[in-house]
Amino acid sequence: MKRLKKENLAPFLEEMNNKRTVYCPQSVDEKDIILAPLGKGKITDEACKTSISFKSMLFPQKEEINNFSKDGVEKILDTGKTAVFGVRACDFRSMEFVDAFMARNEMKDPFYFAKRNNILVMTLACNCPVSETCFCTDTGKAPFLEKGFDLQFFDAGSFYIVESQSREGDKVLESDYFTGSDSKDGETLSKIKDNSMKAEMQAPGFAKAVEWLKGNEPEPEFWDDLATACIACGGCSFVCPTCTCSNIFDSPSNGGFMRFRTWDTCMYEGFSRETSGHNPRGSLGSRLARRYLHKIKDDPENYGVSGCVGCGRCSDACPVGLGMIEIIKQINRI
Amino acid sequence: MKNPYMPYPVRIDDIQIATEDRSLKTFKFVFLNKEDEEKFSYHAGQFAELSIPGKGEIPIGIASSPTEKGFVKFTVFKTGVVTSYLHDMKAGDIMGIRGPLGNWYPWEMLEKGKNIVIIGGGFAFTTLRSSIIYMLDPANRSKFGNIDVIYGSRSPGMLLYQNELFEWEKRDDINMNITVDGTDDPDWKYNVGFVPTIVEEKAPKADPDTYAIICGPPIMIKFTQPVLEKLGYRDDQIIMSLENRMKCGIGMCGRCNIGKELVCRDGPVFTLEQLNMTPKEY
Repeated sequence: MKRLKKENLAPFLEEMNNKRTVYCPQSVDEKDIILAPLGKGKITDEACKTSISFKSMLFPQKEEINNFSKDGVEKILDTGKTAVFGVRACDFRSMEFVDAFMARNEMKDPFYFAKRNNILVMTLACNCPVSETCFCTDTGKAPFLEKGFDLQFFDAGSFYIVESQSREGDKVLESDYFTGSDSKDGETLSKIKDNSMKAEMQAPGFAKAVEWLKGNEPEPEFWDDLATACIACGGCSFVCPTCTCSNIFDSPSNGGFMRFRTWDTCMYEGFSRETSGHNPRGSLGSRLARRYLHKIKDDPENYGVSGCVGCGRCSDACPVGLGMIEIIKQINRI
Repeated sequence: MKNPYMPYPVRIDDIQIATEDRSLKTFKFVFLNKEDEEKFSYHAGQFAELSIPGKGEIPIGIASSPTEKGFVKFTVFKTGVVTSYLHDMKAGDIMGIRGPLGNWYPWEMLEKGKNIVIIGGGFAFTTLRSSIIYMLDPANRSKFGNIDVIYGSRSPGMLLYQNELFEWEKRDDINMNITVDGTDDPDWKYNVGFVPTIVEEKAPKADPDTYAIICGPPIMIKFTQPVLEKLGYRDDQIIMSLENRMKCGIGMCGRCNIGKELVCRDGPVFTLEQLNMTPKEY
C-alpha cells in the first residue's frame, strides 16, 4: 500500500506516458467527461463516469480486421502498450465479462487480446455514486474491487491510497511520486470502503429480477408495451461497457480493400433481418427482450459473469427512460 | 495469434448453373495453397464464409463432401450484394473462403449403424448432398443402415444436382424419393406432391436406430414436423440445420443468436429437442 498526492497525479501520468500511451478521464468542453489520451483536456482526479467506458480502448468503435491491399493480404495487429487511469470498479468488471466473451471455444479474438494483453489498468474506487443512475451495489457488487486488478486507487481527500495486486502494479509503485503509507491508511481505507457500501444508490432490485428470470420469462406483450416508448436509437448498446455486437463491412483503401469491424446494435431492425426479408426479431419488443434478457439471464449462464455491471449508462443515454434500471423495476412488477 | 477473420485464397475452378431459372449456381473452388486445403478439413453439415474483398462475406453450407479431395463446392442462391457479385464472377477469378465453421451432423453417433432419413426441399439440399456423398463413399457405407432420401422442389428443373439424383435413384444402397410440387412433363417418372406428403407416404416408420435430417424452407419444416411425429420420431431423432443471418461466423458479431445459442458457433445443426428449449427466433 502506498500514497500518491493528488497534485502528483498529472506528473505521474505524464511520466508513465513516456513508456505507455496513457488514457484518463478528461473534461474537454466543461460538459462531457471523456476517456482520452493524456493532453486532450483537463484531467479529472475524482471518480467519474466517462460517457464511454474503457472498452473502447480494447474493442474500438471501428477497427481494421483485414487489409486486402495491392501487395497482398496483410495482418494488422495493434500491440502498442497502453495504460488507463480512473477506471471504476463497475467498468473493470465489465471487462471481465468481455474477456470471457472474447475467449470462448479455444478461439481468442486476436484484435481484442493484442490490446488487452498490453494494457495496464489503474482503477479508482468510487467513494460515493458518481451519478444518479449508479446501481453497482444493487447488483451485489461493491464500488471498489477485491481482486484481479493491477492497481487500485482510493480517494482519501488530498491524496490517494494505492493498492497493487500484480507484479506490473508493484513496478509502477516504484516511481518516486509514490510515498510510503501512513500507519492509519489501513483504517482510512476500511472507512472509505464501508462508507461507499452504505452510500445511497439506485436499487431497482437486480437480484430479485435475476432470480425470477431463472424460472420465468416475461410474456411478449410485456416487451411490446415497453417498446411503444423505445425509438430504436441503439444508444443503450453503444454506451454499454459489455456490449460486443459488431458489424463487418468492406471499404476501398490504398488501391485495395480494407475490411472493418465496427460496433453494432441489436436494437436496429436490420441487425438480424435476412436477405429474404424474414426477420427472426422483426418487432422492437422482441429486440428489447433479447438485449435485456441476455445481459442478466443468458450471459451469467454462458460465461459465469453478469452482462450488467450496474454502471447505469443505458439509463443515462436512453432518451425515453428505458435503461436497465427501468427494465428491472418493470420485471419486478410482473 | 491467428486471425480468424482471414480467408484462405481460392481460385474459381468451375461454375455450373444449378437450376433452370439460373438463380442458383454451383461454384467449385481450388485452394491456391495446398496446405490451406488441409487446414480446411471439414465435416458434412458445416458451412464457410465466401469472402470477396470489397464486397463482403456470405455464410454458405459446404456442398462438397469431405471424401471429395482437391476442391470444395458451394451452391449459391443469387439474392444479395455478395451473392449477386459472385454470380457474375468467372472461372479463374481469385477470392477467399473462411472456415470451416459451425458444427456438423452428429456423424460419430450416426456412424454406429443408424438408419438415416434425409429430408430436403428446394435450395436447402447442399449440406445434404455433402452428407449423401459422404455416406455412399465405399469406405463409409457399411457404417450406416438404411439410407432414405426424400427431396423435392417446385419443378423438375429446380432440383439441385439432378445428374447425381438420377444416378442415386438407380442404386440399391440408397432409397431415393424425388418429388416435385407439380410438372407438365408427361415423361416425369418420379413423385408429384409436397415434401411432407411424400414423407408421410414413403419415409420409414420411427425406430430407436433411425434419425431424420431435415433441411428446407420454413414452410416445409413446419408441415414435416407433425408428419414425423405421427411416424413416431422423437424430438432428439429429428436433426435440423438453421440459417440465421450471420456476419462473422465465429460467434463474435452476435446477430445469429437464438436465446443462449449462437447458430454459427453452437449450430447450425440442432436437434428438435434442443430447439424446443430456445425461443423461436429463427
